Amino acid sequence: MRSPVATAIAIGVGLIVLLSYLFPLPVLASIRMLFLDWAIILAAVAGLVAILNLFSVHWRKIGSPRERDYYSLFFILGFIFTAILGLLLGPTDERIRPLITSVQLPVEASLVGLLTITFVVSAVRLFALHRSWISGLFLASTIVFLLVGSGIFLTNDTSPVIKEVLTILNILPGAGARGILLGIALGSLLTGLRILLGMDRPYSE
Amino acid sequence: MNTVVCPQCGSSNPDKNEFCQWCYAPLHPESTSGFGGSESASIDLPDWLKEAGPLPPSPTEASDEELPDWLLSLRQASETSDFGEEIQPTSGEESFLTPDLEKILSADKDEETETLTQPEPLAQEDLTEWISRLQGEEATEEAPFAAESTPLTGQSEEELPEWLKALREQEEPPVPETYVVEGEATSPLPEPEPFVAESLPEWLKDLSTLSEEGKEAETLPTEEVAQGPEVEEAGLITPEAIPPFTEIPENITAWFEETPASIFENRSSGVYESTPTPEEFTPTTELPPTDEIPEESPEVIPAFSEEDYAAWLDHLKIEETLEEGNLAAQIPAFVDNGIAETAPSPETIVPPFIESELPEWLAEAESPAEGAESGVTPAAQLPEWLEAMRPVEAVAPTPPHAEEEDTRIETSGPLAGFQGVLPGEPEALRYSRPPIHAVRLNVSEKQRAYAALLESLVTAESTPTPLRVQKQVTAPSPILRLAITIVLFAILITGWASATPPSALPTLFPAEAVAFATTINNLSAQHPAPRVLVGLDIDAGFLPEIHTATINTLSDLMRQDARLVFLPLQSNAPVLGLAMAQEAAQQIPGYALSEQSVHLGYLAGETTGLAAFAYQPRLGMATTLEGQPAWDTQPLIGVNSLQDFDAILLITDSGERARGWIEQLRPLFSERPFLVISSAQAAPYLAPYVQSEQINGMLTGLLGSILYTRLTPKVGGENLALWSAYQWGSLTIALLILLGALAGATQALFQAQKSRSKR
Repeated sequence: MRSPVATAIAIGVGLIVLLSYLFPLPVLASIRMLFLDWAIILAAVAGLVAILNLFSVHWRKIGSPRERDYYSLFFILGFIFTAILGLLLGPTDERIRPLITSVQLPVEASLVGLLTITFVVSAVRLFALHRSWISGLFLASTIVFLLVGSGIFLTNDTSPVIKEVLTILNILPGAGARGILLGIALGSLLTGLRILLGMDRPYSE
Repeated sequence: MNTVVCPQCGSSNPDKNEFCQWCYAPLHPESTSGFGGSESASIDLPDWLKEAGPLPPSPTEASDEELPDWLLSLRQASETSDFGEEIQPTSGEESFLTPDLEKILSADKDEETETLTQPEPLAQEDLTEWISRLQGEEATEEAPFAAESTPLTGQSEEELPEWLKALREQEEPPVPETYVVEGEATSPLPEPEPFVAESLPEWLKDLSTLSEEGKEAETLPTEEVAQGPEVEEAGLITPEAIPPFTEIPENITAWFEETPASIFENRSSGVYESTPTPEEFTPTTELPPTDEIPEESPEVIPAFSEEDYAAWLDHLKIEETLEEGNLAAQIPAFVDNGIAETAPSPETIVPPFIESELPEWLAEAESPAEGAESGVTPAAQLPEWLEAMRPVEAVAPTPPHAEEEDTRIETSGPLAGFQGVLPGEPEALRYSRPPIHAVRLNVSEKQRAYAALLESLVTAESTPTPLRVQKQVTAPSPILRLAITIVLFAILITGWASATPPSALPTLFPAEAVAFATTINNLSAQHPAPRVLVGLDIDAGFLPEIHTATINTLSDLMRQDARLVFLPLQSNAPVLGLAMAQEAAQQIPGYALSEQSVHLGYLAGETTGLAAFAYQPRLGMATTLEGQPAWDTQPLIGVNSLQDFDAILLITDSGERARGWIEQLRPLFSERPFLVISSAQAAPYLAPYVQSEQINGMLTGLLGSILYTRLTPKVGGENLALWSAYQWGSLTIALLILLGALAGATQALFQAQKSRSKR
């Protein structure tokens, strides 16, 4: 075993948390909460580490003689500016909030809009590149759910046949999602068991 | 170091050795011949005689004081009588009795019988007379063998047959070394050879007998000697072998000196009272062929005493039995019978060797002599130590030649006299031809099918599979991309500007939307100033999709004077929550946002943080977004657990994150409404939770915003421009995809037609 100590700790903590759910004893609940608090703190520290890593990556890109990326300079400047304002003014300050609502939100929304155009172009070219029944089915379903999602059939003028069809179509996503969720549940169960049994040790990699 | 090859066994020995260190044969016959150094006499000495030890000095050199009493008495007797003078040394070719001699001897049957019955040794006078008479009869019968068998002193040359005379003219061939020694004719009669008659152990007797059986063909090629083996095999002592009284060899003298006198007393008193067994007289000599007899043969003096003559006469009886029974060819059986008939009693058998001086193996080898009592010669029995040395025979399978009895007898070494002690078992004899098995397998049809399937699988694995040629996917042309972009922007802008949707406003509402609106609007009816936990798990990019629905929902809650607790799980969610809360609060002028709402800090750890907050909210998130103690604020007063909230409103754009909320919080919040505002992409993922009523109401995307505004009439709540752009945009995208598919199909058809036309 490559890291027996880490494996023992992981298995022990996992068993305690599992037992605390199975047996709602105050002692086990307290221990579980302690572990969860530690996990939250570690996650927050991990977020901080991720921010610092992002800063260092862009910093290296600026200083790299080969692949110098001048866009990273804007990131560095924006990061320093936002961090300083946030540390000085706090996240709830009126002068900080527009940085999110007027910069980040439109930028991200624009990216989603650009993604929409990209999807449309790809869908238009899909059948020309891959002429298969799967491509045809995919395009057909896309068109159908675009029309259904647009709400054009949610009127009283809609024929009963279409209403029945809409009812059936609304069931299909739910059925597919159930299958996905069941698969996720079983996968999560097995993953948890494998970690508890020491078969998987993602913490040792 | 010089080595000398042993003439007996062929092994190499140091030059200084006088005897072979392996078989104890004399290495230098001239020097080791203790009886005068006769060359011919020392070549083929029997093993037992070779083992008699180094040659002692000549008896003539030994003083009389060193001789035992009995020997001295014998010597004195020989000196007082003319027995030794009358006994002439025998020639070498007279070692065996011939039929002529047998006839002569048979004529004296009566005397022989008398001799056999006389326990007392023959007197020298009687013996002399008998020999004289015997010689006379020989001359009358002119037996060819007479000349050979009557070399006694006192016989005239005229009495000899011609052939014998011719032989006499020549040098007499050497006599087998065993019984002859070189000596002068006038030398005193040697002492009786103790080893020949009685002192030989049983194993040595057997050895002598069997060795002669195998050698008779070679040693007796001529007619004269052809009849000799009959006597020889019978263990008889030929008259030729009768030793004259001559000088006693030193080795014998030494043996006599070492032997207790009591043994000889017993010998003199009892040994010759009975008929010796044939084994005792089994000659161990190897008679050379007549042709090979050297011309100059030294005179031979048999090493027999008068007692031996008596024993020899006793064996004449046995010879007679041989003739009568016509069993000459069955010598071994006859010998055994003779032994049975003439075997002395055990009391009269005196061992020639001192048992204390004998090795154990020899002592054990002598013990089977007791079998002679029953008249049957016991087979040689191996000592235990020798049996233990043969484990291979105990475990090895019977060789193919096992049925063939190994008649070979060891002639030298400590195993001399044993039969089949170390039988040769060449491995080649153990080899047997391996059985031949059928090559064809008995395989059923089912097994054949499986084998064929396996073979096909193996073959398929080794067969190279051609790689599928991937079509080069080229990026869409800029014109296409630009055209699509322009079309979409044109449609969206046109739709937004016209605020005229392509269809009428929705009049049909999904159940989850109705439930959502009903729950929000009736929340204050169940709980005045409801305390609502608003979960913000959304990215800024998807906020515009659900912005309208969120603002309308929050305003409805504020209208009911709800106490809103915002819990962000994304890094930018706190600011988005603040912005949306302020925007919603603008629609409700009398709502004290700062007092009725609280923004908790960012909850890290996603699902883990949710689990901690679900079980112990105060520990999971202790401070507000400003860093103040959260649980001392107005909305959170009296809240100690999750069940203290009246409803949970989740605003999310991800089905995965919504699942975490449901899994961690819903089990602890099962009796309160759990409402969700999600983007359109998360709606299918959350549909199962809606159908299972884990989500009590849900609004999805821009459609949900329109539906909610249609369900909760508000002045100006309907955003027809956005709704119109949304509907026109959706229809345009569907049309573009359809056109693209048709274009692709058309292009494929054209390519097919081109390919057909080219063919």
